[in-house]
Amino acid sequence: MPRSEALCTNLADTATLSRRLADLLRPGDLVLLDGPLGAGKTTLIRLLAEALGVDPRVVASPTFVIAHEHPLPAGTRLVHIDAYRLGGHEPEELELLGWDHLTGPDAIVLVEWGERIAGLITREHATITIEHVDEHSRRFTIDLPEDWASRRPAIGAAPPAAAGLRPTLCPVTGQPVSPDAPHYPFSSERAKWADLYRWFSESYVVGRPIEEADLDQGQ
Amino acid sequence: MDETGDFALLILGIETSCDETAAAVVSDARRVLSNVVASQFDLHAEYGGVVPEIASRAHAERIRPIIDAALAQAGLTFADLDAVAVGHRPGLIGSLLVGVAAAKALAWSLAIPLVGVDHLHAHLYAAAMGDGSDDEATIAARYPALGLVVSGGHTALYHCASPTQTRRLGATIDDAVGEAFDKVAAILGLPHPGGPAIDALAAEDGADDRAFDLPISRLDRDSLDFSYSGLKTAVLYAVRGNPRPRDRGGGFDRDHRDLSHAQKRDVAASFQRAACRAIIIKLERALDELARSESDERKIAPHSDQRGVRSLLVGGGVSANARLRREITALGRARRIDVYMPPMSLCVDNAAMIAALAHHQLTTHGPADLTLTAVPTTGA
Repeated sequence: MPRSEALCTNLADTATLSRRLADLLRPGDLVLLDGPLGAGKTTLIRLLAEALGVDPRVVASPTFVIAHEHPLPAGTRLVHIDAYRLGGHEPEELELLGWDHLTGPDAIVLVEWGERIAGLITREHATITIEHVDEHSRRFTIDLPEDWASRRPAIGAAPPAAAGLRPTLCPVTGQPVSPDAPHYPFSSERAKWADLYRWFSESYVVGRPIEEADLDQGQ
Repeated sequence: MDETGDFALLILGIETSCDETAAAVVSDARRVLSNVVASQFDLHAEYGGVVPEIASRAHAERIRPIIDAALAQAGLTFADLDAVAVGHRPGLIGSLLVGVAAAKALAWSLAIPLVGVDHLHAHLYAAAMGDGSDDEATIAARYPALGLVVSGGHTALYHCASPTQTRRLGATIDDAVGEAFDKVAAILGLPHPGGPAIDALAAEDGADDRAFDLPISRLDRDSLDFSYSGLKTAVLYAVRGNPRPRDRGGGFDRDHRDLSHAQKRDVAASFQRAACRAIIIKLERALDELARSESDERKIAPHSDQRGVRSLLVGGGVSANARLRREITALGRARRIDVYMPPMSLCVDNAAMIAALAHHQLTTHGPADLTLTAVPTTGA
């Protein structure tokens, strides 16, 4: 399973990471999120939801009702589950929860306290583990299924992280890239050229008029 | 016929939105003839085994005996019912479906009207209807009202023009206040349920509610939304110290076992102060906001019959918290506004509130049809 790590020292960092992750997600995907109380699982899901086109204000914690559903712009669904109150012992627990009704080929499913039901899950899924580093910083460890790595980000992929090089996912191949990689943030020279080609062939476009401030980036 | 000479309208209410399976019979939107909640009912003995906490199977197993018990306690049979109502939103879809299916089956087989009720609107009406001793006109005079629902799953503010005309002003953007109580109790190693445990600890002699400087969430200057996630995390750091680096095994410096009883008591009191303060700030903002819009309205239409907010309606399980009750009561006194908080049996999730509000929906909007579905989200 390809593993990558990201250290986020503030909410803007986490938002950038969320946009990258959101680009990889497809309907039918399942992601389990782990981390202790206060780690920021709901916060990460709110940012992911926002990147997927959901009003972030409606993304609250589903601890008590177990699951919230949000329609996505493409007509698919974002399902936000919280396993905090589940035991995860009986195999039929997921069935009783209405798992098949909640999850489906049209749903991106994000599960807080995923470890509590991980033993009941047989299908392929990604895992994100969040650790406290200090009151504002969190370390994200991201394990993706093998074939997600070959996914291409959606058109209009997230911009590169604002400052400081940190491990990221290649926007072309989706593979994790460490800051000291020769073609950072791309996983290979070929990926770098492929990315440039997408700009030339206009499969990447800037969706608004270019402003002066945009031209300063990268200096 | 009841004592006023009117024919009584008897409505069976059903509630399965979360953990509780509940049924109740209410007459004329205010007299509770029976109010049965499964967790208070000895089903363990009846089934001779464990009743699962969560899940639609638990609701499906409980719903029939609970409905039977509600009718028996009211001294009625199915044939006496005039309508059947169900809390059909918001909640866990699998759980809601059990109640919706039961209510539809009864409405169809008995050929009586079906009513779908929003669980949160029902919590607000539970506050207005009081203990059953008030007449219809007295209850109607409590509107327009500012409504607050505080529970494990919800924290929301409403403007209520009438029992059936509500407008949501704000809600939590992350954790509900009751969830914060439960999670802070877990951080402190207190027994479940967390709300009463924190309430009791914070009320002990010597508790210092300013011992820990915890954040009171206000959000934007005129926001009527709530946020409890930051407060929960601040309590975590107050109790557990700093995270340890990964090469030292991760985790935190300490946990609740390293705190003295006095320290835990002070954390509980400081948390409760911050949690309640945030609610009072939002109630004050909402009252100011509604007063402002009312005075604007009067400038445009001097003879408008729009009236100011007459009362404050508070529902949901967290309204049992002693400090919150005290602070809301004080706010009501300062603002010269009547405060209504239901008795405990109507604070927690129950079906009496569903049946009671259904009466108003039925008389103002008419019945739902058999296409009524379970909806996971709340309405306006």
